[in-house]
Amino acid sequence: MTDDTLHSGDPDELLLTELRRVAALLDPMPGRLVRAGRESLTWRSVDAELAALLSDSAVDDERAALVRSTAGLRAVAFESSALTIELDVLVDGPRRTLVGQLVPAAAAAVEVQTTELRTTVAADAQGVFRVENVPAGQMRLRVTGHPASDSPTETSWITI
Amino acid sequence: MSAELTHLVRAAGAGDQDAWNAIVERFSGLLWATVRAHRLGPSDSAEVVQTTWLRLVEQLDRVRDPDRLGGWLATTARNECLRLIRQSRREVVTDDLERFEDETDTALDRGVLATERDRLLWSAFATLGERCQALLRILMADAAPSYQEVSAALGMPVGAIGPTRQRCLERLRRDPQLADLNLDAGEAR
Repeated sequence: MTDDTLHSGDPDELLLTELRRVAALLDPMPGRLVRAGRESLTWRSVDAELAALLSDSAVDDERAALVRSTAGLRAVAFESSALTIELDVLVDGPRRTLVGQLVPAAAAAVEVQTTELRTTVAADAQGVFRVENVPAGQMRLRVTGHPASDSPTETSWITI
Repeated sequence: MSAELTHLVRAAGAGDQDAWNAIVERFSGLLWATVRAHRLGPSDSAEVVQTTWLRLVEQLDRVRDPDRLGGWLATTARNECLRLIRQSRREVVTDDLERFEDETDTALDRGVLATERDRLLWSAFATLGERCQALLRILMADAAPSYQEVSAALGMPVGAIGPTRQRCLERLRRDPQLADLNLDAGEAR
């Protein structure tokens, strides 16, 4: 903002300043965007280790623009120091089915957290889990009781 | 500036809601401009912005260089935009209508304050090429973004921003709709 006053003699700066003002009138940022942003701090983890997004076919394929993934199937992988979580997201209208694999393979509790609901399923001894009927939107997984990790593991948020 | 941001990031990481709010308020304009530059609708825009904030929440303890925070946020939002654009080519969005009407009301309320000149300027902007619209829309972010942030939001090299900006603004000035607006007192036509 102060830059504008500094360069106020520059016609390009003047025009951009005018465009910025018009954008605020005719393409304004919805207030609920800021409200939702403020509320996201409530999702801060205090006890869990992050499994960060390692790969996402929906982003990576766009960059590569070579490989076409199977329509309706998205493959995502998360990684912490102790665990890798592979996740296939199957799209069916507004609902999603999640099929996951914990590596190393072991039984654990897997909680699906969305901004609206939490559901826990069990990963079997092969580390495989399946969750149906997950609503589209932001989602993360919280894995507890896995022998490879003393603390719970939480994935990055993804939009499914 | 960056010392203040460093403090805010650290405090937010420790759960300080006021510090977090200050970060959100500071960068919301950049994120909004990023999703609009990618021409996302209201529902998709909200999704991208919220995902971006959730990603920052989980990374708060790992932010090493707060000066790059804006660029990181813009990159995260851009990647989410690209993913959604790709996805929407395959899917029919059905749940967007209600929220869209909600947004339209807000836009109309504010739009009452816009003058005829404002509307002419905006409609001339809307006739520019895609690349020009995207760049100018980012540059319209409140507060004015750094070139590093612009580059991150658009995947455009920093060196291309200045010349492209100049060329796009020049095209806008030449729009016949704007001939009577006297936009350009400082420069000969």
